[in-house]
Amino acid sequence: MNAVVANNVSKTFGGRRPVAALSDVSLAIREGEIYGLLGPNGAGKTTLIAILIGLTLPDRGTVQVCGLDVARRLHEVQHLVNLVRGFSGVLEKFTTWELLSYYALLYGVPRARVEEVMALTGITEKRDAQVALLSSGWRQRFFIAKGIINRPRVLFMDEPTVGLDVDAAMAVRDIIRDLNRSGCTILLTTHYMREAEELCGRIGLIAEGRIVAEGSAAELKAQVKSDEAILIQGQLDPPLRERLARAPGVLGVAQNACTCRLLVQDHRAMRPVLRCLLESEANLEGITFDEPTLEDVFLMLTQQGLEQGDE
Amino acid sequence: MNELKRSLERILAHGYHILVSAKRDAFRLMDMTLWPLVLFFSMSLFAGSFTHEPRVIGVIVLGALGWRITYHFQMEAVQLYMDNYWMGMIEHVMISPVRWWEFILGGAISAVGKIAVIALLFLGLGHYVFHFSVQHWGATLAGFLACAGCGLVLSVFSLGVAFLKRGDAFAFIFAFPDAIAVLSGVFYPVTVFPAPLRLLAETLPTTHAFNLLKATLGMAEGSPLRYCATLALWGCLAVLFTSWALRQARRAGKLVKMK
Repeated sequence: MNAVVANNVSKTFGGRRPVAALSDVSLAIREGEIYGLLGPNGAGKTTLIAILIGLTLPDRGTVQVCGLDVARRLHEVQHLVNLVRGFSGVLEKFTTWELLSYYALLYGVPRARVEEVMALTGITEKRDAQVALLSSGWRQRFFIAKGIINRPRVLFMDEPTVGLDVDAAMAVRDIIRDLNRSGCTILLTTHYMREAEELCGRIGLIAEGRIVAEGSAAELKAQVKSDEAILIQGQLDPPLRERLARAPGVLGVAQNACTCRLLVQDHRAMRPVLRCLLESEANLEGITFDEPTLEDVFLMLTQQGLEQGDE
Repeated sequence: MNELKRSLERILAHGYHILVSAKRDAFRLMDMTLWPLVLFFSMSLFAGSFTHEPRVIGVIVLGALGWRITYHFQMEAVQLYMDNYWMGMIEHVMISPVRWWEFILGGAISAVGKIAVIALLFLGLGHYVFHFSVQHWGATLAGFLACAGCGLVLSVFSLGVAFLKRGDAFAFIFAFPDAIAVLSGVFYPVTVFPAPLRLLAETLPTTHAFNLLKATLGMAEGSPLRYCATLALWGCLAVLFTSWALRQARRAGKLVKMK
């Protein structure tokens, strides 16, 4: 059974220059799974979550959560879902216990549940600390505690590890796994591909308001038909990158600060790539090989998806 | 029955929220101490320098208290919503099963607490400084209740404005009850206004609520019927407006504070 179903959801925000935030988005999240939604800033992830939890109405399309139509039975849906965001503010002056008690009253759950969620997320020792003064890692644990206070059947997590240090992010990921094991369906948005690969059974890639690909990490990697990635140490100029992108067997080129990453079909692409590099007399520091990562797949598929969508 | 219990819990949640905020932030207590006292003394001392007529002092004491009642019943619920908005937590509240009128009633709990303090201050000071005493307690309390009803209607309107205008709403929300108070003739009869303004004033429930208060001093003619009729009219308009505003806010994505 599906916990969340969105059918052909579209949303445009008005104003003098209307912006299409979502175009014809459909997805189905199975009960008990962790579904990852990956996309760059402005791709439509937050808008999609806002629509799925009923905070924003879509222009077109329908949404069902736990079999209930969100537009018609919002009040019932609100008892079944909750939200964790990675960049929420907090009410100043409230202690952890006080703020959780406020939410416990809002959801009509007994105060004993406050102690329970503090224990589950490991924040009991911060019971009397002001939430606004907690470090980002502790604060995120607080938000997870708040997110599970009503024992939601579906938890929406919008970039829950953003800005956390390695230890804090690992702790949050452990809590997410535990929640999922206890039966909670989770929709997780993140920028971190490794996090999505590690946690999510299925992943949807979203770019410019469209879901451009969906599947498990392995299925997504298979979609780009790439066996290898070539890593060129050095800064390549744009004309050279364009020549490399047109070379036979090269599926995509991405340059970051000091490495250019080429996704290629297989090792046969090596010859034309090397020829291009030698002809360019570029100053290179080294070439290595790697397996395609979800990040490569994301770059390739979002590019392809958008091109197909534009046709 | 179960849903009624849950609704009561959510109303209490808002009361709890306001209580904790007030406990930790002394500045929030100024609106039941310093600011009303400034209003009280500036009006009463000004009037007292011209006359010792007890009815004039009475209009000031009861009028200032009625005005504060209207103000607090209007402001507390909106303050609650705006607190959550400014602190970036509005989506966490709005995805809970909360209903908009529960903000209003939660705010009313806090308003009752604050008004109890202000009433003690105003009536106590009125008695000891100006020898003013309430003569008709029943009718006076009814007048105060009438002011509270007006505050609730204003609160519904203001919450609708907050849904639509978010952070920009606050200036309007602050100015709204003051403008209404001037139009409603808190300390003077609305007959001083030119005809079009007088007509407008007659359509406001606040005008009739303050008339009920002034009537206890023999300074105006109170009409409970007119009060009820105008309150019902404005109440219906307020409910329709705020229900519409919430739908519009959902449509425009204004219940989420984007990063």
